[in-house]
Amino acid sequence: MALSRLWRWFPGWVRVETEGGYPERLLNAVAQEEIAVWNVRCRGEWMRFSCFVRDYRTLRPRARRACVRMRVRQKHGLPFWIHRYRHRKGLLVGLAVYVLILALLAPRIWVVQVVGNTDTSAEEILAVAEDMGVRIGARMDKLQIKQLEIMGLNRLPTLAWISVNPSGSVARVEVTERKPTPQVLDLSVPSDIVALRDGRVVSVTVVSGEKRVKVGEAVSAGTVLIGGRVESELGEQLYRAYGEVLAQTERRITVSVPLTYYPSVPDGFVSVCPTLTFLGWEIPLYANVAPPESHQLYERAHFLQANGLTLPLGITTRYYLRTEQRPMQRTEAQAVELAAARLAAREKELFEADSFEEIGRSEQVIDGVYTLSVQYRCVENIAVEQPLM
Amino acid sequence: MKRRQPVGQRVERAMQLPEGTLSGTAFMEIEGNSRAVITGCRGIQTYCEDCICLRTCGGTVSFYGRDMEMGCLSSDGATVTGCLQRIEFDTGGN
Repeated sequence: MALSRLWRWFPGWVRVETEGGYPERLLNAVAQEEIAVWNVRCRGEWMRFSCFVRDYRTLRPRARRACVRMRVRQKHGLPFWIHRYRHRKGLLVGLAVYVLILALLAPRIWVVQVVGNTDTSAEEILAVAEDMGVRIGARMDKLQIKQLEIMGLNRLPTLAWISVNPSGSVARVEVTERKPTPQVLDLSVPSDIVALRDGRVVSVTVVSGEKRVKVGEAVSAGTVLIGGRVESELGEQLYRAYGEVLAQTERRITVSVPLTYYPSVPDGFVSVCPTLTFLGWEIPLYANVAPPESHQLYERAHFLQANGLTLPLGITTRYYLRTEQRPMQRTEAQAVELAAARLAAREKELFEADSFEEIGRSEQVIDGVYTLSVQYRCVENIAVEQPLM
Repeated sequence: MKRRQPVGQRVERAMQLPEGTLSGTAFMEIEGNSRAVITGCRGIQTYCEDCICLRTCGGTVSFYGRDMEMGCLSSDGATVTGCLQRIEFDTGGN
């Protein structure tokens, strides 16, 4: 019933009232002409029935022949609905724009998500996926998923599997990472283990090769610690020497901090460059202004969010702060503090924790530069591999 | 003298086909006393509030009742709805 109502609604229908004459003749004529009428009701002098709008005009001469006066009581359907809103062109334009936007945007990718990665960065996967056509704004039905699966694995050897699952407007890039294979030591290339720097041997651990130094022995840089050339009853055998030699060494770290420095400081001039981002397209909302030569860049992005997903519609504002180099002075105390911080960072970079001790320190200011020099005694692995010629 | 049956009806009987296959017999389907669907209708003879008379190939069928309406109407069929009280067949003396 609802389906037939809908079927009648689209072409439009009218409720017609007739009066006087011979309504039976009109109905017979209607039936013979295959004109659809329904809900025919006769009460006394009048009769009412429903028919399609397009048939109403063809009924008029037949009604005249049947001596029936005919008039429309009610109008229903799409043609009348459109007629009612004919002066409101904005509605029509809005509807057209809505349909257009829906047709344009619905089949496109709005969000690209990476699922399943732990060690491989999402940016790296997204970059490969983008090269394969999985990018915001691309058509979902044009995705070459098989090609991505093959080419993506070639370009990302850390992955064991990659695929794209389209889900509405979200392209979900699903990956599984490859378990790293354990590295096998290649023993076919003969080599020696030599000392990296001067020191006194504390311990020697030999995995492969012949031990050439004793604990407590002083060695200089380049001394062979573990030999790969071994004399035996069978003659000279070549091995790849492998092991660890811990030695007590002395190291020095020098840090210099100038008391006068020239930092880049914003001078108060700011260039604001807002950009509208929509489905990967960037539409600049500013005149073509080149950023200052020396500047600091700050970026602030505001994107629409829905159900925890970031939609590809938003404004990114870049602030270019023009900078200039100004001479500034720091006190000696500030220089000491800065030098200590740099020294700590250097210690962390060079030595392992609890493997060193300070044995001497000197500090001086020469020509406006504060210099801190520290002498360390440390225990470290001085073994380094050197291939046998 | 016995009147001869139309050829269509005679063939139907001879070949044991369902009645109406070849002859123009009207079919009527009645749902309780509220609705009747007539196939093989050849037009409306009378239509008023309490009576609808339809012409069929075998004569006239009259539906009497209250709030009589015709649900739909086509060249070979009609639907009569309302509170049916009586149905009369007038075969014109055949």
